[in-house]
Amino acid sequence: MTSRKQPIRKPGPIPARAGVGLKPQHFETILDTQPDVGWFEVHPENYMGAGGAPHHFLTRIREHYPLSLHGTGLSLGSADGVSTAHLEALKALVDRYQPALVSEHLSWSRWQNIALNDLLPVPYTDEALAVLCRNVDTAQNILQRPLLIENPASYLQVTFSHIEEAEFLVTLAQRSGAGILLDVNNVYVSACNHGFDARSYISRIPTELIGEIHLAGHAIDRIDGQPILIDDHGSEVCAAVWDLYLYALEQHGALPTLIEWDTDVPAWPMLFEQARKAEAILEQSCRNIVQKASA
Amino acid sequence: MTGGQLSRYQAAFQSSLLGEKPDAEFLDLVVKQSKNDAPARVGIYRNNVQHSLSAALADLYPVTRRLIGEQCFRSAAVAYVRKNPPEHAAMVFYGESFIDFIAGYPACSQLEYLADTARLEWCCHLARNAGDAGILDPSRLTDIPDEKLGRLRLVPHPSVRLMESRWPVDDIQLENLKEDVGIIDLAASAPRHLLIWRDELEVRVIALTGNCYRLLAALSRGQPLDAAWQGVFEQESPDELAGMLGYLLGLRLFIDFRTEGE
Repeated sequence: MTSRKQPIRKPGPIPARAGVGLKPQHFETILDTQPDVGWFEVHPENYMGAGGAPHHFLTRIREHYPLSLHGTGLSLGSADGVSTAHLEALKALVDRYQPALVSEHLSWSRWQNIALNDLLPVPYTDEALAVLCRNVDTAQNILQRPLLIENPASYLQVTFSHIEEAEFLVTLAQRSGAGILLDVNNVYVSACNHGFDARSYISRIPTELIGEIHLAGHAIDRIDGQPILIDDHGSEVCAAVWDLYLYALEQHGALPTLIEWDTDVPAWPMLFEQARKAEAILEQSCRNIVQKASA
Repeated sequence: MTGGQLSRYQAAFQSSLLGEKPDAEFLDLVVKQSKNDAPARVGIYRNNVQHSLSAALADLYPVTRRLIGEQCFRSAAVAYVRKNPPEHAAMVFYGESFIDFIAGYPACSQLEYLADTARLEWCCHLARNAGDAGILDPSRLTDIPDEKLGRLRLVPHPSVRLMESRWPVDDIQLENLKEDVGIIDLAASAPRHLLIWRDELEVRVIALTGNCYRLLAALSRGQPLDAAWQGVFEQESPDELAGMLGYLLGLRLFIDFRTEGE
């Protein structure tokens, strides 16, 4: 009996190009047509089964594209620590697929061995900061690599938070040695929901900490007649988020940028078109930077 | 608040997500932007959690869902999710105990075959996600000397599952995955001895004869061929054994073999 769980190839860096969140609906199209996108990203939780189609296709797609693992289940904000079983499963995927980037969220999703399958907001307190630093440290020690931590989209704030989110995230990254995954749609969603300035948030993150950008669509709901934005990853990136993306690139330079689409997933051409649009803005940002420098 | 504030916050948030309704003390911790927005804000997370876990069950049990209808399935799934949330963040490990839950769900109690239908769906799910392994080339068995054949132990593919039911759940599954469901005469159907496994990437379900099922079950438990065979038939019947074994090998169910002493 032969084992197929050999590392596929050495980790290649993720280029400063657009990548796309890999969905099972698109496995065959991608293998058949090998579209010109820079890289793919997957949720490792969807590959924690032992074998079958998910591994079959990911193995083959990984042979042609750099890969990023973007976790949703590690629960770095849990007061009772990260799950050893989950971390070991993640480590096995890192060893097998040799991703260029591994990221997680500034959130929590597990308490007392119950996994809640959602990204829940962390209160921005000194205690929570210490818990996150400890959990990120544990994860990075086991994975033997730094994580990127993503800023959350949130729908509520708690009364006892006393640190601003951007400051909390930057301090976490600096203390733990992690990087930051800047989700521009999340900045926009949370800025609208909680009334802070999205551009100021983006400019407060030190460039050297940012390793990746995320873009996605959101939905708009209402509470007491007031709009509330929901980060559902179920539509095209909106004009305001494209503008904010260009602003982020002008502030921080060209960065690997992911198009995420997780609900009501459309046929591949729509995701490819969103990736092309992101690449056009990446190029535009480079031209703007050169023009500013030569002015 | 003193030390342990984060723990208390997470415990209260969790009970607000899975409990009857959001915890009143927890709602007091939410920053209010309008008079009554706190329950609606918590409600977004509550809906995300309950909906995403119910959706995972709906993907896992499409036939069960079709048999009881969208609305009934959704009510059952939400009730299940709130009482039986997952322990692992990866959904591939979630939902086995939904089989017993749906069997005892009052609105479905008249559908006696429902639990076995759900069990077959769980077996298919396990087969779909079981480990990969290369298939045994049957020609390798021709090198085994005759006197050692009785001690042959065959190693099944990790995806192999066996399931008995007094209902024709294989036909129920097949029909309910079609757009137009055919009629199945439950009274005229014989009990089923089902083999579920993954061949390449395709999950297959087939009904075996009782004897073939018992032989495969014994082999899957690691019994050598002679003991497995004696457990199935009182009288020796080498032709029948050869036929049955050839059939099972042809299904590409085994990945390796051992003969004692090796």
